[in-house]
Amino acid sequence: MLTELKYAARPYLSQRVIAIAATIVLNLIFGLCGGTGVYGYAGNITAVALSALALCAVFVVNVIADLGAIRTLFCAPAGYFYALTPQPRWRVLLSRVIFILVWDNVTLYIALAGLLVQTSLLANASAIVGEISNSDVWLAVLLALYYALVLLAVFFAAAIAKGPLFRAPGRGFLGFLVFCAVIYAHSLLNLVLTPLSSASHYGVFTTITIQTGVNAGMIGFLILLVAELVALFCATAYLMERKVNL
Amino acid sequence: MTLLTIRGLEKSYPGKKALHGVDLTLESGKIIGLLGPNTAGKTTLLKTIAGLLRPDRGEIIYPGGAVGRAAKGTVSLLPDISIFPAWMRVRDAFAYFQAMYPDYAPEKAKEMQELLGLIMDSSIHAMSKGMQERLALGLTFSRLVALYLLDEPLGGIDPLGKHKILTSIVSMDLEQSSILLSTHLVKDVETIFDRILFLSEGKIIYTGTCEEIREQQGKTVEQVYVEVFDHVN
Repeated sequence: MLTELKYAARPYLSQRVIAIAATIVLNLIFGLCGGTGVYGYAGNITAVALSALALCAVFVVNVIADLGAIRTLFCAPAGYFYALTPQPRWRVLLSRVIFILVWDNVTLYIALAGLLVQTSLLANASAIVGEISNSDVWLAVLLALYYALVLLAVFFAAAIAKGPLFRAPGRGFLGFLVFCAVIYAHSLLNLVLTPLSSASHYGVFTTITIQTGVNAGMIGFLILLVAELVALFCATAYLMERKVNL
Repeated sequence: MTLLTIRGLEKSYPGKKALHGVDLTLESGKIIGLLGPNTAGKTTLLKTIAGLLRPDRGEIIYPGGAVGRAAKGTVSLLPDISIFPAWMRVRDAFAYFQAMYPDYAPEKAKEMQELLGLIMDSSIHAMSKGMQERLALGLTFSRLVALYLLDEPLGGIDPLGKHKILTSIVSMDLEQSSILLSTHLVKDVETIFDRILFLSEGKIIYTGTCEEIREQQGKTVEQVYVEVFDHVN
């Protein structure tokens, strides 16, 4: 499977490297402006606007990179390899889903990681005494719901698209559109929820960081990352057995 | 030995019926020509056998009774379009094939590389159409399967390329397998066929062995082709 992914990723890699580089730069703008405007000194409208603009740019960069990935995996010519292989369908599906969803998230996780580091640093530097407010709790709940929503979206996309999506290249345009829609709904949700989730991390994780001395932001981020991947694997495994007709 | 049985196969596209109840039995050890004009349904038939298209009606019984994805392990398709990303080198294409197909046979691949004159470090985007076709054929034959499906392998190929391709087809050990080759360039390939099928508007309208045609009727396959399709049209 590694070889498959290596070759499938090749044309997509250069786009993704550019996307990551762009994200790091944009994240710096986002972090600095957002840190000043949102987390540090509320009311700095220019900083907030720049921050939002940078995050939108991250989204656009991701969309461009993702289109390359989707084209690589689902359209002819490369789609033929998947359509013709006698490999077990779970491998075929898994490699596609992992590829799209993991890679789709790379730049956004960099952005999120940057935010978490930033909020941790801000919290430590300004020695804010952490108190978990009601809004922090709600944001944490929202974050959990978001991850559930992502899974549901993947579930439904595959269920709706089960026939046409995984058939021969050049066919199943509806399924292809559904899958694209889900990918971008996912990206859009990331776009909307990243500031919220980081705000949530800010409150909850900063409190833990200050009280325990452990960088809970980074640990929390890693836990979320692993949790999402594990959940995606489980959902995919279920779909392969029950829903998806390859 | 019977390799593949097709019964009542039908396939439609929006506004067009491509296959009208195809019945067919293929035996092992043969090179079979699937001949017919453009739009006869040759590509649709091959893609349906390969599992790229799902038939509307009818059934296909694969070698060894394989079903589902396992059936894809019994056939190797050479599509009528180039399926390789331009950035790949020949070496990458073989490595990719090896990763994707469990029935890939490295020794067979090496044999094909030498026979077809493939240079492993060549970049695909710099290769001529003929060389790309040779590469595709080499990859198709590098799998150990029961049935090889070749869709128009000679279209737009120069004489040397045709010679190389035909040589590699004839060199195949077909004791346990067969080749189904679709083309409308009858004259170029008729000498290699054991049996021919004429397909017209999604129906098999003629089937026979080349021996019968040559010895009993005293004609070439091309002459019979012209007679049959002239009559149809």
